[in-house]
Formats: sequence, structure tokens, C-alpha cells
Amino acid sequence: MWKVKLFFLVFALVGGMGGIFYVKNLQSQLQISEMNNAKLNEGIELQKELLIQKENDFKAITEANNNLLETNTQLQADNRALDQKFNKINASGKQRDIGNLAVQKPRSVESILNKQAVERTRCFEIAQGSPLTEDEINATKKSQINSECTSQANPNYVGY
Amino acid sequence: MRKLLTPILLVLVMSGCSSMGVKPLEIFTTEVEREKLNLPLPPVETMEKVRIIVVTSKNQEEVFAKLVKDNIDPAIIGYTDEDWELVQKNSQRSRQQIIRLRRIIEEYKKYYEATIDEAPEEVKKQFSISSLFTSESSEESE
Repeated sequence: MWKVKLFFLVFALVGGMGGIFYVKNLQSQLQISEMNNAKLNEGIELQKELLIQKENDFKAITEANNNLLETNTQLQADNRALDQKFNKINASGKQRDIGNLAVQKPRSVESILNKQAVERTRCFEIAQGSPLTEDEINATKKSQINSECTSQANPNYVGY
Repeated sequence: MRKLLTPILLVLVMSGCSSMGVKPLEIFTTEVEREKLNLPLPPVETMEKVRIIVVTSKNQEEVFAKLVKDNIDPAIIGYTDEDWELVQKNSQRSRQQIIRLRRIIEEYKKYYEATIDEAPEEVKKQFSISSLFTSESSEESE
């Protein structure tokens, strides 16, 4: 009889131990699962941050490209203006010829060319990043502007 | 008892502490931000003022006489009117290229460094092209 009792006692003990181990195992599994969930949430947050970062980068790149495009458009317009300046039609309907003008009025042409040379020198300084003077910023009349690089030197001048 | 203890001790000595369990190594990776290059943009070069002289077949004698009077060698290095137009176009192209390159550098700096730093004085001196001609300028001024 005592053998049967011992058997049940051992069975109960083993069963109890098994139950405890089972619960412990479940708890550790649950803990791992919670940790995994936390990691996944962290990953999702990081992905969200990455997406925002990518979006901001894309905006910055687009803005930089637009700025460069705007500069190029302005410079192309300046080139066309220079071409037109050389091929200007004068009051008598003839194409302007600086050589002919120089023969007719060398002093006047010399004076104009020297004025242009000074303006061109200033244009090089502005191109290098020299800040504009107040006179340059406030120039709105044709007599006040730098005719060599008006778009860079006189932002408030509106040509007509 | 001794017969039992000896092999147990032997096994323990041979296995060392492996039976006590080894803790796994934890490797940490920390992102270290790359140092910013932060090169300053070069300072503005002050350009020399040049004098343009118009020489025609009619006024050449007058022009050369004036040069001699001003103690300047009576030689003109010049352009024809058509070449003068080309020189102006070339000059505009060079200037525009400076503007484009500078704008690109500024955009790069804005994108990667967020701020555009003003060059310190020592760096400005290092970058200055004018310093190459200072001996000539000082001679001229003297």
C-alpha cells in the first residue's frame, strides 16, 4: 500500500514540478515576446524617422536644383542681353558697329569702354561673393545701374 | 569514497569552468559622425583697374604722342572691334562660370553642413590670389 502512496506522491511531485517549469517557460516566452514587440515598435519608429528624413532630404535637393536652375536661367538671359547689345539697331536702322563708332568718336567710345571696364571689374567681385553696396541695391534708374551685370548687381532694377 | 572523488575531481579539472556557463559577449555599435570638412569659400579678389585706349587711323599719332609724354612705352596691345566683342563675351562666360560654381558649392555646403561659415582672416590670406602680386603692386605704388 505504501508503494502506491509513494507512487502517487512522486507522481504529484513530478507533476507539480512539471507545472512549475511549464509556467516558468510560458512566462519567459511571454517576456521574450514582449521584448520582441518593443523592438518591433522601436523599428517602426526608426523607419518613420527615416521616412521623414528622406522626405526632408528630397525637399532640400529639389530646392537646391531649383536654385541652380534659376541662376542658370538668369545667366542665359544675361548672355542674350549681351548679344542684343552688340547687334543693337540704331536710330538710322543700321546695326550698331562699335568699330565704326570708335572711328567717328574715339574719345566718347573710349570713355564708355573705360566705364564698362570698371563695371565689369565690379561684376567679377560680385560673382565672387562680394556683398552689394546700398547704392547697388537701391538702384532703380538706368543711370544708376551696373550695365554689365544688372541682374546680379541691381536686384531692384526693373528693365523696360 | 576516494575512488569516487578522484575521477569527479579529474573531470572537473579537465572541463575547467565550462560547466559554470559562459556569458555571451555583447558587442555595441555606436555611430560616430564624420568630421565636417568645413572649407571656407575664398575671399573676394579685388581686381586691378585697367585703362582702355581707342586708337584709330586718325588719332594714332595723338595717342602715341600722349603715351610718350606720360612716359609710357608707345606700344598698344589691342583688339579689333570684333575681337573686343568676343573678349567681352569670354569675360562674361568666365564670370558666369564663377557664379555657377560658387552657387553649387554653397548649395552643397547648405545641404551637408547647414551653415556657410565666413572664412577666418588667416585662411583668407592663404587663399588670396592678390598676395601673389603684392611685390608688383608695391613696386607700382612706390
